[in-house]
Formats: sequence, C-alpha cells, structure tokens
Amino acid sequence: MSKKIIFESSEGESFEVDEAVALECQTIKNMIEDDCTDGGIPLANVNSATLTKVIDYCKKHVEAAAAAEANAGDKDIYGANKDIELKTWDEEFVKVDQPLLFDLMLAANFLIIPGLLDLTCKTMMRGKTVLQIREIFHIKKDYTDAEEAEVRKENAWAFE
Amino acid sequence: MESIINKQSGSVLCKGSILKKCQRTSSRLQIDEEGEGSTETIREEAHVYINGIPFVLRELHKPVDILTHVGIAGVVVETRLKEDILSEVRETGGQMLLHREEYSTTSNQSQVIGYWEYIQPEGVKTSAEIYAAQERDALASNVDAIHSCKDDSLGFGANVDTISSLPDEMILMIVRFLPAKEAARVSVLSKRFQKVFTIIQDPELDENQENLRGFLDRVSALPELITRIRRFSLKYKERVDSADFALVNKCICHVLKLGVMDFQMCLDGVEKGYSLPPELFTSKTLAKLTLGKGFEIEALPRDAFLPALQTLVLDSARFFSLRGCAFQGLLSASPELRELVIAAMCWEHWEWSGILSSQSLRRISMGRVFSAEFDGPLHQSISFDTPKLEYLEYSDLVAHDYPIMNLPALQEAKLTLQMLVNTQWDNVDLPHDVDIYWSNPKKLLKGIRNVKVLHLSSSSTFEGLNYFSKSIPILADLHHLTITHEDIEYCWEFLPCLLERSPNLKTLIIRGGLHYGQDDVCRCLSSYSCLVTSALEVVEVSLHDSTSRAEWDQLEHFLGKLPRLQLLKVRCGGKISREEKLRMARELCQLPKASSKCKIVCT
Repeated sequence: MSKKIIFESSEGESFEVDEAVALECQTIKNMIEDDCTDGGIPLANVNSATLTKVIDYCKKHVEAAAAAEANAGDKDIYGANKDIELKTWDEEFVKVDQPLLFDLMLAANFLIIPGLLDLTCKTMMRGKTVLQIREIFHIKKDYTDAEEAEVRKENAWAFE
Repeated sequence: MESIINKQSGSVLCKGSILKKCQRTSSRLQIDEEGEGSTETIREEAHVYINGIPFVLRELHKPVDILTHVGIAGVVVETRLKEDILSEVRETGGQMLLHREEYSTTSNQSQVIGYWEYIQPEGVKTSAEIYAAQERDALASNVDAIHSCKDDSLGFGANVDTISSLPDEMILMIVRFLPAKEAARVSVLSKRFQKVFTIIQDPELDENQENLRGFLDRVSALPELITRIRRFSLKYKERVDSADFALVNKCICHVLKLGVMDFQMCLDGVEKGYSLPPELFTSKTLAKLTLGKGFEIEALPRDAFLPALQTLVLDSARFFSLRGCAFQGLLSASPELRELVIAAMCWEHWEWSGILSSQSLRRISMGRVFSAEFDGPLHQSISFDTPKLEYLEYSDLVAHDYPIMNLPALQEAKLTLQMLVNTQWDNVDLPHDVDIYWSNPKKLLKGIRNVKVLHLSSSSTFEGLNYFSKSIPILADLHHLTITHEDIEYCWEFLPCLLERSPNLKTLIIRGGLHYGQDDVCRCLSSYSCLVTSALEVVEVSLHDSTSRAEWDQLEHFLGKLPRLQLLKVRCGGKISREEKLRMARELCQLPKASSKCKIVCT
C-alpha cells in the first residue's frame, strides 16, 4: 500500500491522496522531501471544490504517465493516440465556469503544477473578443475614447 | 543587532540576512538617479507581507542588492520565509527585528535602519495568500451584488476586476499563449495590458545592413513572453550552408513561439540536406504559410496540426513520401485551409499519392512549369476530392486519368491544359486501337460541369478540347466564358460544341483575335451555325490584328446570327486611328443584325 498524503482545504475538509498524486505538485514534492507533511498539509487558499478538481487532474496525469510507460515498448505508427486522449481529457477538464477556472489557475500557481497552470492560463482568454474579456473579468477601461481609438488604430490588423 | 541576525537559523531567513521594508518612495528614486541603488520591484523577488506591508529578503551588508534564489521557485521561498519568521517570533515571544531604508538629505545617502516590531502569527502572509485574501475581500464587499445574482457564483458575477489584481507574472502566464492577433487585441483592454506585449509587425532582413546570421540572432533574441510577431519573412538569395541550418531552425522555432501568423520563407541558395523544423507543422497560430525555393518536405511530424492555417502557398517546394503522402498529410493537418497556391509545380518531381483531398478548401491555384524536354509524367492520375471548392485554377499537363472529381460547389474554373501524345503513337507500326493522346481530360471536364464562369487559356488547351469535344458535358450553369489564345491559325472545333452545351451562356469574351479560314469562316466553326440558337447577350472581342480585314469580316456572323445580342464590343488596340475605329463601327452598324437591340462599341 502506497503512502498517503492528506490535504486540508480552506474549509477544513480533508482529502487523502496517494503520495504519487501529491508529487505532481512541486510545492508538495519539496515538502515531502523535507519530511514536513505529517498531520496533513493545510491549503488555506484552496477551497474544497478547487482542490477536488486539482486532485482529479493530478490523478489522471499520474495514471496517463504510468500507462504511457507500460506501453512504451509497443508503439504503433499512430503512437500519438494516448497523447491525443489525454489532450482531449484536458480540454474537457477545463470546461468549467470562469470563477472555478480562475481558482484552478491560482491553485496550480501556488502548488506549482506546470501542466495545469499552462492549461488554465491557456483557456483563460483564448478565442474571446475584447468585449467578452472585459465583461468576464470586469477589466476597467482606463483609456479615454481617443486613446482607445489610437491603440485600436495601431493594432487595426488584429481586428480585421 | 548584528549578533541577533547572525543567530538566525531558518532555511531561508538565515545567518546574515535581514527583512527589509519595500520602499518605493521619492527618496529611492533619487538614489536611483545617482546610480547608487537598484530599483526595487516587488514582483521580481520573493517577499512576505508583515501586517500588510511587503518585506524583501536582503543581506545585512548589501541591503540594496537583490537576492536571487536560483533553482527555488518563488512560492517555495516565500512559504519557507514565512515559516522561518513564525518560528523566530515564537522564540522571541512576538518580537521581530525588521529593517527599513532611510534617506538622509544632508548626507545624500541612504541608510538601512533596524527596528523591532510585534508580530502576530496571522499577520504574516505570503504573496499568494495576499492575492487570495484580496479576492476574498473583494467578494465580501460585493456580497449584496452576489446575492442579487445567485447563479453567477463567486466574484465574477460581481463587478470585481479579478484579473487586474493579479501580479504581472500571472498576467504574462495567461497571455503568453495568445497568438499575435489576440495579443494585439488584448492591448486594447487597458493601459496595463498594453504594456504587456510588444507587437512586431514584420521584422525584415535588410541585406545591405546585416547578414543572415545577424538577422537570425536578432530575431532569436526577442523576448519570448512579451513579444509577438505578426508576419515573418525570411528571404535570402545568397548561399546558406549547412553550418547555418541549426541557426535558421532555431530562429523559425522562436518566431513560432512568438505567435507568428504569416510566415514566409524563401532561401534560394540553401544547400541540399536542409529540412524544416517539425515545429512549423504544429503551430497553433499560423494563418498563412508560404514556402519558396529550397524546401523539400519528406515527412510530417506525427502530431502535425495547423488549426489556424487558412492559406498555403508552395512555390517550387517539393514533396517526398517517406511515411505516407506528405503533401496529403499537410492538407489533412490543416482543417481550416481555405486557399492553396502551388506555383512552379512539377508533379514528376513529387512523390505523392496523386489525390488532393480537403474538406475545407475554397480556392486552388496550380501552375506547372512546362518544360520542353519532359516526355511523360510519373503520375497516371490526379484526383480532386474537394467538396467545398469554389475556384479552381489549373494549369498542367493533362493526366491520364482523373478518377475522383468531387467538385460540387465549383463556381469558377480557369484551365490551361497541355496534352501529352502517346509515345507508342510515334511508332510506324501503329496498332489502330491505340489513342493518339496519353492525356485524357474526359473526367476533368465532367468534374467542372457546375461552373458559372469558365476561362480557357492558351491554344494548347484548345488542342485537348478539340480532340475530346464529344466529352464536353452540359454546362447548365455557365453564364460567362472567356477564351484566350496566342495562335490565330489554331482551329476552334471545340467552340460550336461548347456553345451548344452551354444553354445559359450570356457573355463570351475572346482574347487574341478571331480565328478564320482561307475563305472567310474556317471549316472548324461550321459557318457559326451554333450561334443561331445561342442565348448570348454580350460578346467582347479583342482583335489580334485590327488592321486585317479578315478578322473584321468574322464579326458579321456574330451580328447576323445571335438573336439576343445586346452588346458587341470590339477592342482594336492602338494600331489604328480613332477615325478608322469610328468608320469600322459605322460599317458594322450597317450590317444585317439578328437582334434589333444590339449596340456596337469599338475601343
């Protein structure tokens, strides 16, 4: 039986995970190496909903890595299939509402999970119009109308 | 005081290091101007917040030098720093030695001064905790707003600018994946976002100013996170030897990382053995790819995928098929491809499947090099499986077969064909059942039957059409036909057939003059009798030689036979005077006309 690590969310809820799964987080990996994980790891800035998703992500990626290693010997000519499957899983994984996506990004940054950080960052703004981004994130326009027109003119090609 | 500092034993807050208040006051700026200090920017180094004020870690003896923690991520340093502070506070019973910088106007120098402060464990926070707390605070202050829109949970429903509260590194992380176009759009969001990116339109190699290596190095050195390139074109006529291949590919990969949309490359003097980096075929941002001379594509990476590619231009590029058909592989990897241009094509130097298949292509322009010494293609057949194709410009030696011609959406076709004679035909003991031509355009002609606009260029095209005129399908939608030729004596046998099978043809444009026989109309046109039933309304003729009476005489047949003709336009060129043109026009007007509404214009 593998070693278990206990995470505690901001609400105080405990989550038990395999050490291998916890090792996906660089921050936790450092703590495990320093042997200071006894009695659970409190994650004061990660709520339960986010933590559940983070653990899902780490689990899936640990499993995928193990499967890839097991199949390393007999790659067929379409060898990339597994990668494609994981990519598709990732794409589905980030189809969440914007607040959760935002929390996931902060958690990935805090726990240092590069894959999840890239994935969430990538999804955050991509393929959205300026108006949509302003609306979703409530970014306050600090340009005057004339200034905005100038910036738009400079980048007119991007709005073609 | 120094003894206290030297007693410290934390993993980060260790012997000789101090915690200094982050100050960005006017005094600091003065120091900076005099070059004595370094600019302190909170975001560049690890910091902790004590009672809400940020502190950075410094060495006692060099309080203005930034400490860098090579190999340890910022979050880890901050977490450990917090732990160290808390353990020290526990030992001292709540007190902690902190430092601040003070600038003395009399001595014009700044000093670092130590002071004691009482610290509660909950008053110590890492930056990540502060950001999280800021968000929560923001939420709390907007509780009412949240209540009023329950479904829209958390801060996003409220009017909180969540993203702008993030530190610059996080903003960069979010935007670094954006292609050039979206990055440029982001700059319109707010002033802060404008500063995030440097958008470069088109870095150019100026051959007078710098050499290839210098240019490649310059582009490769553009900072990756904050630069975006819209268009990149690498055109170089001089020799590129194998020693520079790695440099070229490094530069290409870098440009791809910078989100380039329009990528052009033409290396005239590239040595043999160069191959494009696989990253080129996995770009998520490329919208237009132009590959000129010097490229041979042998195999695509397995994960080849160009989701944004709309235009692909191949000029003299060659394909080989080490693993499946590399050319078809490239088309299959480009699901959004709209336009394909192949210039200076040489099928016989390509190794490919002979099938051009794309579900998204709208336009194809293909032009081949017609060389005199060429005596037979390697390819027996070419297929077009392009259900959305609207425009086909096809200039080629006609293949032996066109097994698949899936062109249901075709609107416009431009054909320049050249027929290849069957090599067996030269033989004196010719068996009777051997075709004269190796080329066979039957299925090609059937494939374009939906066209509305058709251009037939070159007398060589007429050769194929004359021989295969019985295979011309009914062109029910054709309303505009242009024929261009360079040999006035070459027969037009195909034309009566084509006109009979185009019941809805309204406009006919003839460039290069009117073909004629020794005595008036050439036999190949059977006295233009097909015109009597034609629906043609507009005929435009550019005369080959406007001083020749014979061509003018041909016009009589168009006027006298076309029942619905509304306009006859004759282009005479500059050879004859204006008066002469008017005289000819008057003469034409006096000729018998089948259509009373016909107007005549000479230009």
